Amino acid sequence: MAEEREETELNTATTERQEPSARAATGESAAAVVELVGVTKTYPGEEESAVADVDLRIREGEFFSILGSSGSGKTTTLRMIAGFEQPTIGRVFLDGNDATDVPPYRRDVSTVFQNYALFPHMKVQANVAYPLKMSGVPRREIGPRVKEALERVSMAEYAKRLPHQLSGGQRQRVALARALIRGPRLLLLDEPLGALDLKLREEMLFVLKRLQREVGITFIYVTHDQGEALAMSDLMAVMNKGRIEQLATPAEIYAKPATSFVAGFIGKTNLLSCRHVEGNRAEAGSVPLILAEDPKQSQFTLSVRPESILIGTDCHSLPNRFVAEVSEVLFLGHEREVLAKIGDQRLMVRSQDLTVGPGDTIEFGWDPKEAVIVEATGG
Amino acid sequence: MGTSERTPNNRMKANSKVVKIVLGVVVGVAVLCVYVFLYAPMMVTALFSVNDSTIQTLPFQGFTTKWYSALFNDEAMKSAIYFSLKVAAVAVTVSAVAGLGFALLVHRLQMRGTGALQGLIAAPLVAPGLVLGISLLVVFRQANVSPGFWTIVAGHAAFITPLIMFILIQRLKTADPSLEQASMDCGAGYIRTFWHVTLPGLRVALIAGCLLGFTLSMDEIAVTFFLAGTEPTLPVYVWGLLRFGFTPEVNAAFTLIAGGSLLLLTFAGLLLYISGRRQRAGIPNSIDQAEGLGAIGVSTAPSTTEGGTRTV
Amino acid sequence: MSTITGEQAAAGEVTSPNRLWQSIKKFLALSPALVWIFVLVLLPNIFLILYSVWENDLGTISQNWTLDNYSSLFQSEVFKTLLKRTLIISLVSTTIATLIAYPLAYVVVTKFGRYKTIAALLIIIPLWVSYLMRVFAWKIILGEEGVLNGMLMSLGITDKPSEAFLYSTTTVIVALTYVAIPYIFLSTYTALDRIPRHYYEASSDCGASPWGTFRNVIWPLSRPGVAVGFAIGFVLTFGDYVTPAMVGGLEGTMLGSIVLQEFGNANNWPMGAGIGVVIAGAGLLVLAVVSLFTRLDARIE
Repeated sequence: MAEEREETELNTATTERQEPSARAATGESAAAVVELVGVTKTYPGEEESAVADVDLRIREGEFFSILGSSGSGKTTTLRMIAGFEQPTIGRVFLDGNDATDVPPYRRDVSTVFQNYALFPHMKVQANVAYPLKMSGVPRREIGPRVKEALERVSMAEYAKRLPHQLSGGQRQRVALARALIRGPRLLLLDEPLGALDLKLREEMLFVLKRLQREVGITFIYVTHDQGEALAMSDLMAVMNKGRIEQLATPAEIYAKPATSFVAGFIGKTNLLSCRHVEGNRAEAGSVPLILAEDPKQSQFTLSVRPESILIGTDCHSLPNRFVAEVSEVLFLGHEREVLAKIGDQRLMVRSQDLTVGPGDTIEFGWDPKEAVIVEATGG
Repeated sequence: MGTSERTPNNRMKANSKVVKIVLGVVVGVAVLCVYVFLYAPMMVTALFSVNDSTIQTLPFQGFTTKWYSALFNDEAMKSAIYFSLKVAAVAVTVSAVAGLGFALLVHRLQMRGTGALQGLIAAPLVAPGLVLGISLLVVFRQANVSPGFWTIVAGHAAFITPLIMFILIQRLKTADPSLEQASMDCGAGYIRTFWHVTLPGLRVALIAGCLLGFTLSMDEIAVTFFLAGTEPTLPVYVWGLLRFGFTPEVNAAFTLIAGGSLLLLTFAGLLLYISGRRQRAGIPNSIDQAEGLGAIGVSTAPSTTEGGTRTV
Repeated sequence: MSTITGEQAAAGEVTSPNRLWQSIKKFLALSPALVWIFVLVLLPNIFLILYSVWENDLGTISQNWTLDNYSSLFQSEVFKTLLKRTLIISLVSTTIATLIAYPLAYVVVTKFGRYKTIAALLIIIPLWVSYLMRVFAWKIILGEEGVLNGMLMSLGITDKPSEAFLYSTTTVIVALTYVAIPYIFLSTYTALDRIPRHYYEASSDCGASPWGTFRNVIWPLSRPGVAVGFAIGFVLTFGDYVTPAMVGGLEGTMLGSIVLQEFGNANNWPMGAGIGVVIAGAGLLVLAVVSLFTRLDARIE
């Protein structure tokens, strides 16, 4: 028996990965609905790994987002949790059990696909009933449960339609009803709002949030839209080039981006490459800056959010205070985005002053506590 | 470690793995068998074309090229080959012009009824060769046209034209219409736009279509049989040989024709593949499932898209 | 001429001269295609039907309307036997070919990954190799002194050549199955290949086993392609006369074979045309039934 086990281990994982899987078996991960341990995915014929050495624990009832641009590995990560892809290296645990080799249809996981993947030959009710039918639920139980599931997403009156007779938003709701009907432990959403227009997308955000509260299960939400991720998540991971750059609450990620990539990807920011002078003083090019604390390296990147930069009289008491020339102004509706030049540095600031124009001089500054030192990353 | 819990699970996994492997082998062997079945006739013919015996049976009697040399000394066979080449060349030329015209027409005229138009033009491609052959034959007889070169050309053009048309329509669908608009925008008229923008985009597909049509014309028997006069095309001549006395020379002829067909086919396939890739490269977001296969595929069986509209 | 006046009459309703010009231009552009269709598609079929209702008078055709050709056809025992045999041969070989081609297409689409196009091409390529050659080769393989008998004998399975293989209904069925496979494969492959990957995944995600996915999702979505493939296979095999002539012998004679006779030695064109119409009619019937089926099925977006 021991031999048998070793054989399967060898087939699926490399020997150096024994240690994390041993860790996972010790019950430490019991509370985690999903745990990825040292997961790497390299597609055949490609040199770069789509997902590189990712460790991830997602707890029960969490709304967890994976944020990244296309090619960041976020969808591949999701597909490995769903079971559509097998990791090249590493293990996937569901509810503490090793599920790496379990096929998708034996996983207690449901997916809402980016393009909904509603079966075009089945009516809405047949689509929603499908998971129940497949798990052998008696026919007379199916009807009421389908009705209930459709009511939950306000689609009961469309039960007899075919998918192509529905709008994008309606299909989305049906896909949600289908994914939730079996009462899965985990719902995976792969860019579910990507194909919807702006107004519908906002509406669906509320629907999703409400559903998650109602059913109370873990949602893993993959998106490239930082706004969605920030708005919805309890916890989020930012991915880039197959790796997790930062895993934290949305507030923390926004306020304290760990890397320059995260800082640039979440919201707008000014990234200044700085040189340490002494103590809490540094220089960005020729511009002297005051920092909140002494930096650890002599060269580092500083992230300053435009909204942390105060303009005019508000900034008079701040240690970092500059007079700059406006080079460009963009009108954004409720405010203006001003590109200002100090020395050889360009900074973006936000201004509600509608009279500012190119060539004007403005005064601005920021509290050193608002500026964050970030790790330099590519991209 | 919880070994006791994990072992049964592992045993199940191991079992399902064995089942998977066995199933994979069975399926693999079955697939291989079909491929062998499909290529067996060609291989057998090629083998017997170099077999040193007049009787077509195992075991082989040794290697010989005498059937090939006999073939090259057979004046009747050679004139049949020459006649076939002539027919194919003319039929393909006619079909290329007509197919190009119809493809552009169907593509440009965004109006109702182009589906029916396509279907009607394609009918001879889907109809059984026998029906196409006799139906053309009665018309020619009624019009007092005696069977011969031009009746065969008409019969071949009837089914090669839709083939070329479908390949070109396929290509036009994936082409970027803004290229032509850009050309017009640059001040080129319709004719110059066609010449400098539209045609170069279609050229490769057109050549490929012609090559495919050429092999079809060279090999066609069902239609040609009814339309041929006293002078036979190669397949008609071989048909006669096969029915009245047989020499392995025929195997040699078949092998050569098949070789030629495969060569042209490979070339056409490559051209279609390249032109498809080039076209796709221009349109970053177009997902074109019709690769080389689609282009050939759709054209061989146009009725896969609309089963019922074709008439015979 | 009548079409032009029709166009002018229609033009009376069009108020703007620009639109009139537009429709004239459209008509002019269409006219070569219409002529082509008329000469090569409509006219032949019209005359085929006309011939079948014309009288045959010892090889010369008198243009008197008659249904005698059809009535004598359907009274003839030979014709009825042949019609039945042709139907059976055609249905059996198309069915076998479908049973081979569809699973093959399924395996190629789902298991061959990025090699699926090349694998599919390899199956279709025989279509472009001489029909005569492919059919004739079966004579070499199945003949009394053929490859198969030789193999069976050298393996010691039989001790004398079996005559069972050549010049029989079975031989024709084997050859026609062979001929039909690439066509049916093409149609079913196209249908299966159009089903996006995420339907397989969604079904699996809903808890369906691979078999459940096939039965509930893949089969319903690819069924129209199978039906179309079957129809094409039927039409092709039903009207064939080359295969029976090559490998069929007397037992393998099909309807197409007598068409050949009527247009040849028998010199009874109206009768031949009548059988031709029957063949075309059978094909159209199957196509109509199939299109009815496919229309009922939902289309994949």
